Amino acid sequence: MEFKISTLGDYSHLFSICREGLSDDKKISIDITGLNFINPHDVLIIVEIAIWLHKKHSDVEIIIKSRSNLLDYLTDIGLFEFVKTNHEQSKTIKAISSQTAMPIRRIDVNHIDEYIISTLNFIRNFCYNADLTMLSIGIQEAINNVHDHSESIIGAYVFCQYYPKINEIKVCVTDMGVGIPKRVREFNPKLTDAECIEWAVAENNTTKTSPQNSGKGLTNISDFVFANGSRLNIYSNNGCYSIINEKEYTSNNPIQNFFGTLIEFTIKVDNLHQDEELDISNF
Amino acid sequence: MDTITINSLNIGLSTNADGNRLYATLKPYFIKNKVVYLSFENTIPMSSSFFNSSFGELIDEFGIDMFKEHVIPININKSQLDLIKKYIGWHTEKELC
Repeated sequence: MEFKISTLGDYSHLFSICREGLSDDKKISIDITGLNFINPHDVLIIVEIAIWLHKKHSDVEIIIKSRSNLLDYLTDIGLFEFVKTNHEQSKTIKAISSQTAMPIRRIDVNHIDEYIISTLNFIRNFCYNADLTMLSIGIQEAINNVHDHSESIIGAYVFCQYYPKINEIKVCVTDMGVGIPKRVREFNPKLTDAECIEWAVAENNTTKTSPQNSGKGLTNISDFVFANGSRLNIYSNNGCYSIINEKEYTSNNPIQNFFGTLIEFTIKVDNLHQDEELDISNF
Repeated sequence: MDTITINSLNIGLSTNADGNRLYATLKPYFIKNKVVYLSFENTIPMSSSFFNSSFGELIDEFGIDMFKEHVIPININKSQLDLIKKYIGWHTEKELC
């Protein structure tokens, strides 16, 4: 079966297959030639769909026709390797200098810090002395949420891309777990999926899936996005929550049949403060 | 006065489990009423989960004033300090509600 992707909505058919399974045809081809621009969310959606379908004993092939730049980019960031059956990621994390990106990575809670240290060291080459707390916290909080709440059988995936021409960093973390709405509806059964995400972002709201949860993870990310004047998109099940130009929006997820959670945020490096070290202080 | 360097504890600053370990390391100082310098040299920012399980638990057990008197941060970036102060603010607001 072949699927052509040119918009977010086109992933709907693939998520439908992930939900319902395949009857006969065990080979899936995903043609992304029509995508004008590959965002980190495109990279990770393709990766997680491929990994999900591998678990259901399907082969997945990525097709790109006549776009050598895109082919080179996706080769350099390791997408084709990552979607191969039985792919095992390297034990060491190596930045992709040629594309100013950190590699696609499956992250569990035991390796968050290792990934963040590598990412910070790499990004500091482009953002000398900038306060990169937002980058670190965004990834930490998103991965912790996957671990604490999602029950994702494929784990959590992260991808970071620095765009030197516009001096921005885009970070995406995704899972194919139960989704924020399912968890939140245990407390608030009447909320729509988008309202569930909005509830989860609001300060002090927690589903207490783990005893020490205090509901600050998504709030932390959104606080940084507001302060940075940048953007945040959270897609979870049928809902979508966004922060754009310091305003919040909720809507239906443009990817129908989507399940799990995808968080993508942008950091405007020009809006970051310079960091400073203090010898001694107090809380 | 003792100094604990977080980096030498072989823990991360992201998870609840690592937070629990810092809590266990600091608690004896509270019980013995001793002040400790806590060095953040070469550390990444602290997640909210880590805070909850470490400083949060100490604040719950011994109170915010005792926490501030007994744990003195050193070699810390202003951004890390501001983040922890934000977490402390959240935590103490939650207790008041």
